[in-house]
Amino acid sequence: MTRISTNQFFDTNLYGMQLAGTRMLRAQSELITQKKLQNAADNPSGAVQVLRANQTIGEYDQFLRTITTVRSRLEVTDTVMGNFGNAVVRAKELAVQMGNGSLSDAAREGIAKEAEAVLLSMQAQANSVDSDGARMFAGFKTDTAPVSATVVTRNGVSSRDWSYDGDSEIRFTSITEARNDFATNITGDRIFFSRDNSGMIDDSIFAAMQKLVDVGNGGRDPGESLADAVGNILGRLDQFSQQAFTARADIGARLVEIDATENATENSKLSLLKLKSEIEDVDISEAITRFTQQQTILEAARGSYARIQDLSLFKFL
Amino acid sequence: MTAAITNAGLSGLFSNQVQLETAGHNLANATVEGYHRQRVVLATQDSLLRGGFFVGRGVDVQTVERVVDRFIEKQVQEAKSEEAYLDILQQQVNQISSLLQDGGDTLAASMQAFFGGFTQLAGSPSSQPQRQLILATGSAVAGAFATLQRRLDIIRDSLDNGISSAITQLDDAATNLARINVLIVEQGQTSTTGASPDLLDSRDLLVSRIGTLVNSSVLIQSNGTASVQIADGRTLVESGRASRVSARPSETSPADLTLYLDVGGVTTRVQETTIIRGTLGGLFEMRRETLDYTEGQLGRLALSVAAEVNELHGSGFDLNAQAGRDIFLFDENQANNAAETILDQNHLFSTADTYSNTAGRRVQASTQNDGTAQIRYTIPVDPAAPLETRLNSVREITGDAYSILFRDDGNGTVGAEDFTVTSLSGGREVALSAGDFVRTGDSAKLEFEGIRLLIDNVTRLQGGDSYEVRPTAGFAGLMKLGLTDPRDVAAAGSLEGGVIRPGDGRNAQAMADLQRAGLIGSSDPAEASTFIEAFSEIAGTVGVQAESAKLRGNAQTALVRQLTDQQQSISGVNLDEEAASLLRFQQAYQASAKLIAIAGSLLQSLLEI
Repeated sequence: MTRISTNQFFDTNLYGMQLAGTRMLRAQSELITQKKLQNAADNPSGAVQVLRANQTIGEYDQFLRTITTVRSRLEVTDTVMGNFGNAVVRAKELAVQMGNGSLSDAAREGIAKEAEAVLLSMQAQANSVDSDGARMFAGFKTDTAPVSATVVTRNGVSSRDWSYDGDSEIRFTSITEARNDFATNITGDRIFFSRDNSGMIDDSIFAAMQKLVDVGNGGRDPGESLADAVGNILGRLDQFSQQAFTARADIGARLVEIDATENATENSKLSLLKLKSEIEDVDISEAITRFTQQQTILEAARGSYARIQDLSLFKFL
Repeated sequence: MTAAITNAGLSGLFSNQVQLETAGHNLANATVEGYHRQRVVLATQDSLLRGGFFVGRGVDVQTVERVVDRFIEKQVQEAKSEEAYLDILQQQVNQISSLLQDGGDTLAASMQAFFGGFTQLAGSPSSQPQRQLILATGSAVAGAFATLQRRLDIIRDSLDNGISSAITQLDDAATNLARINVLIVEQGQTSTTGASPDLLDSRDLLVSRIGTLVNSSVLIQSNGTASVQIADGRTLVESGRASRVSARPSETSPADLTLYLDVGGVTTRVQETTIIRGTLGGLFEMRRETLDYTEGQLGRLALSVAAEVNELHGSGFDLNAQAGRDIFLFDENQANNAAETILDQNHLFSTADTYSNTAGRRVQASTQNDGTAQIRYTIPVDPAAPLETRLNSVREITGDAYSILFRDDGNGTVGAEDFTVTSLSGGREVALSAGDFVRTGDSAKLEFEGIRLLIDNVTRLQGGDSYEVRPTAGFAGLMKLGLTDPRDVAAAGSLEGGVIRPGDGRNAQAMADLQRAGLIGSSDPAEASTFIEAFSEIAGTVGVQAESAKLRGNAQTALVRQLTDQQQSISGVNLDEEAASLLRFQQAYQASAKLIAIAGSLLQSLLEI
């Protein structure tokens, strides 16, 4: 028979109570914080996964914020381009009207006035600013209006020369870990202007429109027939309309990409949140069961302690 | 005849009285730590030959002895020594593990906000609020690093207190044990049965206490005295002499307290690596494997973040069309030793070998060195190199601390083969090739793992000289923001006609992409870790250490419980048992007294004849 010392009675009981108490407290603390991962020592690889998941989730949030900003910028660009497209349509109608040989000079001047208004609205659109006050089509030179005009006299009427004051720089941003070259802008020179073989700007939709205005005001090139002038104007308007249409399609494609990226990023973020939750979040019913179980054990340990400490031969002496 | 009866009665009275006293002693000491129950050893007195047969004469008390099983006692002692080691290790490592978890969250969040700020700035490079955000989040990054280091400093302080107090306890225990040894010899000379059981309890308790402080081997001599050797085999206690132990700054790393032992007036260091159990074993291991590791790695991360951010920032242009200035600085004035610096004004690391550490915690010559050569170090960076490779040495540093041993192969020339470089964490030896050592006159450079050691006087090196270098230790605590004006944030990628363009956010975008680049641990980006990966490696390593200490600690506690149970089952007092003894010996005492009364009445009967 194993001999038991009195200290063993007490120690064993005390240990039992401490153990149950500690485990109960642990379950309680998990319930209060809603986290089963209380310390990296509980699950070091899990803790590292959570740390990295937090980092990646943070990055995804950053990407999602960038996506929101970029989308609104692209949408504004798209709206401006839409308005611009409408102006081009109107400009072509005016050019066709201008080509009508039976019109009076006064009627042509009237058309020229409207063409002037369309030209100025085109300039205003090309010089649009975004919510930060930055010129949308100026490349990096966001503080400079990209399209400007200088008044000149041409063919005996007051006319304007049009120039591009922005640059051709694209502002790239990261919208995913792998896509850090997503273009967020489109520069005015690619939409409104054209370049010759040496890369110098040689024409613009504004110059074409200016010619329409000038023709209406009687300022045709020497020896040029009305039909030739209007034909020339319509040809150029078609070219720039095509250019603007292509640019707008490009913006549309980018909007599609950004929507797809946003969805994918949201999904990745969701699966990371799920992974994180699986590692660190408490299983409430399991923790409550464990708490109750430890409580029962603690009560039993206390009860048995109370009885055992009451057992002594000295009580009978 | 009646005299013989009286004698038998008296011997019974006496022995029962001793039994009662012993039971009382056991009852009184039932809960005293280290007490072993005692029992009376009785022997029948020699019989007397009387008329051809032997008649019994009563009983003799031989001795009062402890009930003890030396084998179990030794097992308990060793298990407790291991338990004390694991307990303190677990407790201390847990501190750092939770620090890395809580402080790590702050650090990770602030780094994210900082680099995220650059993403936003890239979208609006001229925005004043976005620029201000860079300053605010940069300051938070520096603050998070500095806070982690402060907390590590506090833990190091309390660790030193713990070491100091454990060593004082060890010294007390050793001194007391020597005193007990003297008493044991004295008592052995005056009693016939050696020293008293209670004195032996005191001896064993002290031996056990020494075991919970440091690993020790104990020999109980035939005269009952205990001889104790500790750690590296040197004698702590031998009969009446105790070697004094003290906590002193380590000769190779003076900021750290370590254990010194005085034998015959010569005080020498006990090799920390031989101290593997007891509280001191746990404290030293935690300092070496967890605290130094964490401090070195955090310092490396801080250096790396600052170097990468500053260099890239320097390649961009701010609103004043100036190349970006350093975003992060290391303020050496905050350090204990203001002379410590490996930093110059414009660049974090210097090509000139002048900005290097000469004193303090980061480079330390052993006080045992015979030679007098000075060693400094730097992390070589060439500002003229292309940005992609400029920081390769920073990317290759490991964050480890190193021990540098000059062996001197005696062939007359000094070369890489004369040096042994060992990483202090884990004892990994660093492979050196001949080209790593370059000598110019009396000075020399020794390069390994991103570090360049500068030896000022090669001829003053003596074989056996050793140095400790902690190239990255403490840098996390020195980090601070170097920019004050939001205009100084260099968002632009280039100048155009001497000015920046307000929509140019290319450098800001490049800065934002830094958080995803492999920049730590290797100059090959595919093998290197990102900042946050490097941090999670630190947290993961310490977490595994904490988990391992916890699991081993739990197993050891169970073992100690089981062994203590066995030991108590043999040597512990049972009150019921003693109560039964009281009754038994009370009755026996009464019976013996009755015997004397009977002898008296017999004599009376005779007298009445």
